[in-house]
Amino acid sequence: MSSDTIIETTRTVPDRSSSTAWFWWKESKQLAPLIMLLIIVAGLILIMNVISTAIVNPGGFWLPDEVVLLVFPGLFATGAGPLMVGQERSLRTMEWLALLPISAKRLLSTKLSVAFAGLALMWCVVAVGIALFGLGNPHDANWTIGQRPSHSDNPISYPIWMVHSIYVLLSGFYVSWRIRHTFYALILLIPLAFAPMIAVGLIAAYNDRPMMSGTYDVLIGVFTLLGIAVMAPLSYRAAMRALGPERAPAAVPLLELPRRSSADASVDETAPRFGTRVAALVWQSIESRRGMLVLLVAMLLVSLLAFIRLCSIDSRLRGIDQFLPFVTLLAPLAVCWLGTAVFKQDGAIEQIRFLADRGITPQTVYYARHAIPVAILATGLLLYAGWALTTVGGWDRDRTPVPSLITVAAVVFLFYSVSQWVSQLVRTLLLAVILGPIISVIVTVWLLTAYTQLALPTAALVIVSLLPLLATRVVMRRYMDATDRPLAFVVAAGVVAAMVIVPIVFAIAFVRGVPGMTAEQRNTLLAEAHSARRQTASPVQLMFLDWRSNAERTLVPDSQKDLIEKIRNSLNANSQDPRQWINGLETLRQGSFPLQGDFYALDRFQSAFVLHRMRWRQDNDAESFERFAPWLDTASVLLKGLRRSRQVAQQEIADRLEVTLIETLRTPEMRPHRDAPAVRSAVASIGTPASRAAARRRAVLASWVQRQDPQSRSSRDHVAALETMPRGLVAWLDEPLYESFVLAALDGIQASKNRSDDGSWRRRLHSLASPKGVFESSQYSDRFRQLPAAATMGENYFAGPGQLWGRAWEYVDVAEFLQAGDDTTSPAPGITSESAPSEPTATPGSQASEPEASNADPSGSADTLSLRDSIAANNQITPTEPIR
Amino acid sequence: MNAPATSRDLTLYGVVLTPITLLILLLVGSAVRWQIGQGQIEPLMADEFGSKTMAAPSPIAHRYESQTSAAQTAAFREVVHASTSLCDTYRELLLADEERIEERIDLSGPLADADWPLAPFVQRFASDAQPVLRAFDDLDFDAKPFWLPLALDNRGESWSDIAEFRSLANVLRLEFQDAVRQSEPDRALAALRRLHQAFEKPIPPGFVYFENTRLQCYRMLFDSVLWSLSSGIWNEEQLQQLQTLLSSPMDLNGRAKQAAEANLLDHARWLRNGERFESYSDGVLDDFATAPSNRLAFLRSHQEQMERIDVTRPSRVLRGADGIDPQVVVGLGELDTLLQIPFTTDADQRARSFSFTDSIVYADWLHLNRQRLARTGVAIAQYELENGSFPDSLSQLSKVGLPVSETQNVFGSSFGYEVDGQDAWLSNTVEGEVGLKLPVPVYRNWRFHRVRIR
Repeated sequence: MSSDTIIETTRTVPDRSSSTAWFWWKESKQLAPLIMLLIIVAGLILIMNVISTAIVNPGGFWLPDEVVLLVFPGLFATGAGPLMVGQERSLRTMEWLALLPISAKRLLSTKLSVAFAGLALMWCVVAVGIALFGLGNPHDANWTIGQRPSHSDNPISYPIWMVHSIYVLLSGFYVSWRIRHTFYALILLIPLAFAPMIAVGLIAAYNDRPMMSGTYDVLIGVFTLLGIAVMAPLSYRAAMRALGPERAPAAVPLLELPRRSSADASVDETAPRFGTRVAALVWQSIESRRGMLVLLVAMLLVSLLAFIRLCSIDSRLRGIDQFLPFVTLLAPLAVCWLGTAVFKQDGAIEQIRFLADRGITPQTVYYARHAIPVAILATGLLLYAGWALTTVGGWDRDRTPVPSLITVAAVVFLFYSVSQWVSQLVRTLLLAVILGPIISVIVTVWLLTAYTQLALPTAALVIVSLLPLLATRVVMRRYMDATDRPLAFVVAAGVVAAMVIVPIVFAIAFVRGVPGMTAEQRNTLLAEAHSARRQTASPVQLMFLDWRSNAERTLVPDSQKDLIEKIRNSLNANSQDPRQWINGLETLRQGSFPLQGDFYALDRFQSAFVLHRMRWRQDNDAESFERFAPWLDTASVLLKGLRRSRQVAQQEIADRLEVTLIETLRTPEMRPHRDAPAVRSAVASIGTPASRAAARRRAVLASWVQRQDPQSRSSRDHVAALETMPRGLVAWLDEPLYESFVLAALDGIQASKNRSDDGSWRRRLHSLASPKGVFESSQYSDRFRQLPAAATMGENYFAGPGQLWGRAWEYVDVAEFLQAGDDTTSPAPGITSESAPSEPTATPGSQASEPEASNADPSGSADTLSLRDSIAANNQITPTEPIR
Repeated sequence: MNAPATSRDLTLYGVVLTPITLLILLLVGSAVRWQIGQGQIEPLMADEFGSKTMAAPSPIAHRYESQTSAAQTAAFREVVHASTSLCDTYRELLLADEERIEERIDLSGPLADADWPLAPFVQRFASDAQPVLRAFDDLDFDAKPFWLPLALDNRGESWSDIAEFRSLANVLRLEFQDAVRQSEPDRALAALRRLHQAFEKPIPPGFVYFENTRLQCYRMLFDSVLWSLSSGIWNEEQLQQLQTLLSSPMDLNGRAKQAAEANLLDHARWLRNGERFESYSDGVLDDFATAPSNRLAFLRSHQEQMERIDVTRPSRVLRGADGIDPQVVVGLGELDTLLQIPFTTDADQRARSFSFTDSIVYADWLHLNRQRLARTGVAIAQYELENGSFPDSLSQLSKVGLPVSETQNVFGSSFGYEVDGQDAWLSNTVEGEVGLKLPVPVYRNWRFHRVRIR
């Protein structure tokens, strides 16, 4: 408050019997900027939360952590003392107040009372906020208040937070009364504020073991109370001294006067002369803030040394080293305050007015004021680079990695840029010193998050980072003339808008760049997808039965007899008859249930099938075929069940099973058995390109619409390419990427059905299934597709759909092969050399007769219908005897 | 209006502009170093692997294809899958067998014990395995190694086919065991030859994982021979056939170097443009390139690793906790590392390093050691048959054609040997040696301490 305002207020305030009300009003008004500061910070945090949530978690809302709210009273306590005392000093109203017939005690008590009232109000607001938003974590709380359950898993309890804020308040008053310069007072306040934590940390360091959170809390409380007991009288005494009359200078005997007069000294101490204006301005900027610059340089150096020490430690931090991470935080603070020092220090405003009155150009003043801080930062970066070049840091994730120069420089630049901008916007040094670091952190975190997680290009990041510097340059002339408002705020709003909107715009552009479906495509396919999803029965799970009891299965043998028994039981459990081995087989055979299995189950079945097929082929007699026939029959039942499924993974499993079946059937050894029920069943289960296409299409569309239902969607149900996308945009990219997959899959299904040569769908599927992979060496490549399917298919893993679509196996006619004469031999796919023809052996005529129907029986085709019609009712199969 | 600049002005300008200028020069210099380093990598890679390989979209896949043939892939996979099914059925038996090997000190017991209770199950397993063995015999192992569908340089590439090789090794191993118990030495020899065929060549030195798997399976051959020596089934001629089989030369150093080269080639894309592509990585920072100096240092460390590979001199390899000197593998002191985001070293550099080379050299060393042990055991049996008594010391085995060097472990110490009445005892003195600092864990299920020879 200026003197004029006080006088005016004194005249206009209604006459009261007590001047207390007036003092309370005056002191409260002094706190207004601080309150405004806290509101701004709270608003910024809220806005960033809203924006971040909207981007990363659409439809949701992230509440700020309770610690964010708990810091506000601490900020208030930090700023109250320096504001209420330091501002009086800088505006020279302290002397005027001292002239009033008011005791120093009353002045002090009024200030303290107002400050405490403000603090209490802050705590009430915080309490309401915590209660309203349900912050804290009552379930993991580790402290209590009497009998009441505690509310937070914070290591420091709420009561101690409150007591500590009182201590900080008293300390703030103490440093403000003691030290005239506001900046130095704030510097001293930092270690004082953290003194209780430092003391407790030293105790923990001495013990060299982690402290229990309850003990930590209690000790903090003890030291804080001790601090209050010390600071209260100290603050009182400092206030009395500051508000009291100055001491008269001591009388010096005449004979002890120095020979030289002070006038002579002043002649010797003339300012240096400079030839250029800029040099003079630079010198002036050094001299006017020499102490501040020295202090900030010291902070930078100490922080650098602490970081060097921290990087040299490759084990748990012990003893005093536990403070190193906190000491390294001095550097970003120093960078912010270097930025603040551009436009703010004691007397800075008067200096700039002085220069403006003498016609110094804004450009000259601007660069002159930036010169020293930028030079200091550049020196610091050079020292850092020199050390970084000699250090092997970040060798593995256990050691502290060494950020590169470009990383450090980017953060330093952002901090400095924003802080100098804040220092021009804000009128008081105190607010600039507090607000600068806070806003710098918010902006830096936001922009770096946008860069790493929202696809913000590097050029855009650089340009946005330069905006604060540009803003201060633009407003400089008016700032010098003290007419920068409201232009400064308009420009500031523009800068903030750019910082927020530019990353969002790029994020939107990135999301839009991922091709999904058009609205028309979506509507058309959705209708079909909903129809496809409708199932008449629940799926049967492919499971292998283990006839052993649970006890038998989990037995840990402690004798040889137990071991023998366990081995025998396991062999009995693994029946040689698949009809005994697989659960739900008869259900599948008799109904229209879809089957659901995983690749592990498929792998087990296929391996066993291959083994039994091998035995049959080698023996190749009636008896061996009778042993193999159940496997053939089981495979055909499984295949039919899989083709009924509405899941993409099941269709992939079905493809693999069908390849194996075709490979089995299309061998000369099978011809003599073509009329066997198992063979006819197997042939009937073999699909056609059209039936497979129909089954796949249903599965792709049904899977797509199913994942839109949050309840039935799995966390892994996404396209692999999503995992390489910017993390913050995952929620927005999930659907377009999956739509891309659906379109590519439908194209592939159609191309396979029509035997088209167009392979673009393969590249698209590959880019979605194996992002950053090499197409030419993938399962989708021409190289892989030239080989027999049995040679390339993965049986126990799923690395992407469609790898078997449209390959030679799809176009063979098994029935025709079996019906052919015994002298006609065609090599089965899979058991051939590389010179085997990749062209399908099916005749064009057989495909033309296949019905085109999306709801056709997936196992049906015109040719196989005749075989299927003649298949008798399922044989009754008796279980084989268990192995003794 | 400005007056001419005084020396004081210039000093002040110097104080202010010097650090700023130096910083700008440093950043520009780092960028220039980046470009220079980037330009050095491709020629180095082309020199190492050939321009044709490096021109391929996937150099590692191109190399793999040149070493293999897909002619028998389907047939070979069928054999492996059938083996896996067999092992799945008999998994409890195999587990019991492995535990037996782990816990016992004298491994000769079961083969000599006529009432060994697991014998009937082994016999049944061997009977069930005959179709697999017949299919195995239909494969042509003199042709190129079998190509497998690994989908290299792609997400989801699977090496399950490689992992399933162990099933085939188990089938052959139990077939051998049963043959010995049934006193069918010719059948046993046939099983050993199959083991040798299956794991000498079919798996190309593609990767360290391949090579470790191959050697682990191949060690079953040596272990099986050692087991059989207490059975007394071998005659002189058969022992000589065993010795010939065991002496088959295998260029271990060459294969180890090829495996290491394959590991290097597997990182070709990262080496070329710093792209951090990991099959299963989802790190936020993977979009930022690694500095060329770090990649060049990686290449240099590869050369250093190549020089260190010498199976016959394991002490050259087995140094340090991981054998890797960090200062060799990173671009220490190079300007372009200052521009690498966010840290000066690639956080995954260690994972990319050639500490795997130590593991494969160690596997080679185990192989060599076990081979010598097996040859020594066979030579003792040969000596006993020829001379009617066991040798007094291992040095006397030179009379049956085994050099003294082959009776020593890879560190130059003799194997343990003592005669106890009717039996001789041979001990492996290295793998259980106290105080030997090893960079990788020993495969404990294949440790031997004593083998009885009859």
